[in-house]
Amino acid sequence: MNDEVSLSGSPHDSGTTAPQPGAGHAAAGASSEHHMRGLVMGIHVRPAPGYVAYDAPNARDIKLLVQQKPGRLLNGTAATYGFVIQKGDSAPARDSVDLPGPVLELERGKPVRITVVNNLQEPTGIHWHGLEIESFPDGVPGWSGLGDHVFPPIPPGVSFVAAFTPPRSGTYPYHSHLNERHQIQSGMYGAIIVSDKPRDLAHDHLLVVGGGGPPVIHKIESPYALVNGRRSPQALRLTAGEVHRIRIVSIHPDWRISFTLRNDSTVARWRAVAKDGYDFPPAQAIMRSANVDMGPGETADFEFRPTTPGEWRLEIKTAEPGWYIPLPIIVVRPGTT
Amino acid sequence: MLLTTLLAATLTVTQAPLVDPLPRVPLPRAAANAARASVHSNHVPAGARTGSVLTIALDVVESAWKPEGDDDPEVPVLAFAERGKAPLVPGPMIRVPQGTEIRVSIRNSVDSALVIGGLRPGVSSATDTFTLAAGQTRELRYRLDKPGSYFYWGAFGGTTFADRLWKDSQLNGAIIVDPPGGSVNDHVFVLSEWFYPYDDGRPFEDQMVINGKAFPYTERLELQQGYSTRFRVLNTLALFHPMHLHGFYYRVLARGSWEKDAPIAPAMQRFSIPISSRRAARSRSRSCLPRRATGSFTVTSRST
Repeated sequence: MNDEVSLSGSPHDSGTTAPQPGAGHAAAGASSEHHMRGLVMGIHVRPAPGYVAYDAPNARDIKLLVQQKPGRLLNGTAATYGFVIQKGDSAPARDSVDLPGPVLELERGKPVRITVVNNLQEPTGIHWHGLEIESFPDGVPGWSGLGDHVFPPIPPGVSFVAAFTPPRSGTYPYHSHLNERHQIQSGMYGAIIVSDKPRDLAHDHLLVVGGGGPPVIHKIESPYALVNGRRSPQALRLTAGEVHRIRIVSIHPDWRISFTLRNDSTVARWRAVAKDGYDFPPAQAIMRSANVDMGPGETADFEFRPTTPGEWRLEIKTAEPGWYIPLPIIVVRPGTT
Repeated sequence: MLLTTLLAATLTVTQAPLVDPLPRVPLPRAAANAARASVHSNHVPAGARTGSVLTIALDVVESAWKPEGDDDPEVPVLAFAERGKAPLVPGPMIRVPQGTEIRVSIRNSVDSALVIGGLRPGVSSATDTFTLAAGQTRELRYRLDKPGSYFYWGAFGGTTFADRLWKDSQLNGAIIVDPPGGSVNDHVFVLSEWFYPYDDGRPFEDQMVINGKAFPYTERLELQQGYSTRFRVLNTLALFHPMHLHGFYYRVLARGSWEKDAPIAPAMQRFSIPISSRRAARSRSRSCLPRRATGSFTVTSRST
């Protein structure tokens, strides 16, 4: 038994030691393409008496295309995977991809119906990470669902409709939940922002830190990373004396990432206002040193009020030796264009 | 896990080819006298309790353990066993009411010296950790006076908790001290990792498990919509693990380590999607299942 075999979590894993799908929840998530391995547990939630299946009346429609383009990410993979929103009746070019995925701007308490169109050449599934929604649209192929109504992988050329009502304002990621290490690292990640009112983009800033290509060697952390889709991200422009919200989405699958807002001599102070889409209670929404470590799938929102014009930088680097990407932050005087 | 030497190229590599995996090689074999380890979900406490005294006898034995399915590989580990019973991964759970006197006999039945720690939570690691020579038995008596979630552990002699790799990686057991009146319904999750580094430059073998099994072989929880439960998460790895509960939030009630417990004051409790369990850390949380959420969900974790 022990000759020439590996544990399924091993770098030699080819999926052959994993059970095959098709046996319902007893083997759920066990597809050879399913990379949720190891530290994962399943929960069956039985409906309470009187349960009524969710409906999404008068939902706003979003058409989210999953696509690939031949352009290469940092590691030289054959294709970049990603998302693009269809606006209007005309589909965007089949090789158009936004990196990171387009921000899904949702309204708290307003139903939304997201049609995911898989234009990849392989199956996928999209997970709305952190949203308190029904299981079926949650997007874990072979697992999400109730009873026999189980969310399947979305085959190439097929669409899936995820309908839900986001109950809470906050910052969340969305990402592939099939063949995750490859698909997420190849670009299938983005941010969801649920708001009570339209965001003031001059004072509300989003950073999405994710992968820039699958790892060079199986199992070893990918050394490739992008901030807002770039190795040299565009500077944030803030106004002195005004409060700015900085939303951080940490969705690189392989790394715990350290964020530090500083200039050459000083680490700034900021107010932590939300974590993982949930506002901090007042006792925790306090000013603190502008440094935070975040693992895969975490989000955090901070308020920063620079007092004087100048240059700052958000240092974004792996908590252990790996990579470093600085994000310039330019603070200008009020009224400066 | 992190192999820093392989990351030296970092962002300057733009067209590096994907390297094919190396040929498979045999996993280490369990010792001929190894007993088959059973896995368990920390539902049943170990030992015999009479009044306010718990008596328990533990052995550390050579074991063979299947972290995945019955037809998947078996790997060698050291494991805790109640004396005369099959070894367990994770080790037998010590669960008692606050104030219980513990009378434990622990015997090292393997041919290497061991370090044992964590049996007496609330005592500093400097005084709670002791060495057991091969074949040695030690008797301890103490009281567990502080409610909370802890774990005891073992490691090869001359090493410590954070040095464990594969053979001694599953020497972990939960200790739960219930407050007067008992605890609410809960689930105890012991997280551990079996990590085998080859010495010829090949990529490592590893598997991470919850209560002795890796997904999809982990326990399936059956909960009721609108019901509240408590997760006691004991991270015995030297790694961070943000844990994400699909569809729900946790309310984080306490944080700590194997040697102390730190309840969080109500005003400071917050909801969280992930709970970041760090090295030697333990988090206890409660999951609230809102009315709308039904169906099948997962708790996922990625090591970083």
